Amino acid sequence: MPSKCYLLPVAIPRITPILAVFEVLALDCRCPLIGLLALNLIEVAPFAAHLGFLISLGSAWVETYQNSVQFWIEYQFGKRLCTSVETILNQAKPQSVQADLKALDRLLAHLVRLGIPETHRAEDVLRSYDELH
Amino acid sequence: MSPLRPSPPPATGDDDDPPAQLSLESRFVTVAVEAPPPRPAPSEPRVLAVSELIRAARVMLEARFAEVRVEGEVSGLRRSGNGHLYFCLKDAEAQIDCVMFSREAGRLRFQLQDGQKVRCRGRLTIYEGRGKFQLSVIAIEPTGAGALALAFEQLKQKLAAEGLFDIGTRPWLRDLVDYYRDWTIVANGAGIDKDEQIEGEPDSWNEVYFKLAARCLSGLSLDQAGTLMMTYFDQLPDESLFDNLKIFLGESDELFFNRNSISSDMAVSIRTLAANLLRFTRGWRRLQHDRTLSSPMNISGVLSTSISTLTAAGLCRPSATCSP
Repeated sequence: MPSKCYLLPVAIPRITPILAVFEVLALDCRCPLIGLLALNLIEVAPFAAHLGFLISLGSAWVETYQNSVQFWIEYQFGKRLCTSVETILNQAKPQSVQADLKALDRLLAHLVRLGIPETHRAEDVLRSYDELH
Repeated sequence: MSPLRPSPPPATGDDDDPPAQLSLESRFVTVAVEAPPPRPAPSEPRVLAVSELIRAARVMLEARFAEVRVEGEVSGLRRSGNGHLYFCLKDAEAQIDCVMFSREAGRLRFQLQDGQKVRCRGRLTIYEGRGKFQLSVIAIEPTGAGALALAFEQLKQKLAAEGLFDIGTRPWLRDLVDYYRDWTIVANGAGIDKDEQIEGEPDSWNEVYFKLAARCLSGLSLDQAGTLMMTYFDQLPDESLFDNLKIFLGESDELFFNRNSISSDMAVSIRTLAANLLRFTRGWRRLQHDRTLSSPMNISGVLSTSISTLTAAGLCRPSATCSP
């Protein structure tokens, strides 16, 4: 789906310091709306600096929504989260995301259990990282 | 002979009775003894309770204008926590307050915005609680961009192009902003209950003032900027905070992303303060418990103000919808 964020891709690297503020907000209020805004922002141009943010958000959602079919499937949070993760992993230099990989593995394992097909693609890329290292 | 004409005897109601044969003297006596027929006391005008008066006026108005179509430009649009839309419909010479209740508002197929020229269908009524004359709108159709808004935008663009809002070349703008600060925050409801809705905010003024206020951030230290922001927003009720913070942060985005006239640290500081202000609102607390996206009512009602604020936080374009 087309992103609904007003920032252009060229502006995205400049949001990195602001992302920390948004993370505080998104963790404080885990409603779907805030999640939607977060994904809209990240989808403009996902890159390595966003991975920690996505994992943090994804883990909080797992805690809050657990097996909610509505949240993960109907609202497509699982699909969109995995797609952004996959995009980041495909583009990033391995060392730039190394610190986040274990947490990412745990998050993807949960999403697999929820039956989100896109998780497998992200896992494939993650596996290729493991093979590299 | 007496100069006085004796009054006729009181009517008996029986026209067939022969008139009494009385001497002039005895007739005078009769008149003097009998009281004149009681005249009804002049009736005092009925005193109505305010509610009676307003109700009577409302009933008449609703009967006379049960269904009207009115065309004009939307101004001062605001959405209540319940999802009702409040706005003003105006043309060059007049204006009328309008309300569109959440049930009808949920059926709108487009995003109503200030400056839009629209055709409203509804009923003229009076909101009894405030004795306020208003149009209760049941349907709205857009009819193109309003000429007044267009003219306003064009004027703003012209003045901006001439550098009128450039703090660097016109430092006196900072004095201007300071001078009108107290008036502006009072006009936006400073000090009233945080959850209270205010009416008659100076929307057009706010649109310019808070942009200008954001421009004044250039050249300030982080502490100064923080103090300034708190002065503007700390006392505002929630809805006013959302509306004006959106303008302020939108402009700070312009300064940060497009003009590079504020630093990254300043951008972070501004958003941190904005986030802290936001987290103490009731709208935010309601949002924390929301777990759905499915109902447009959820979006347009309780959540909408928070969407606006987050929009202003530089995350989403204003037209963003919430369907995933």
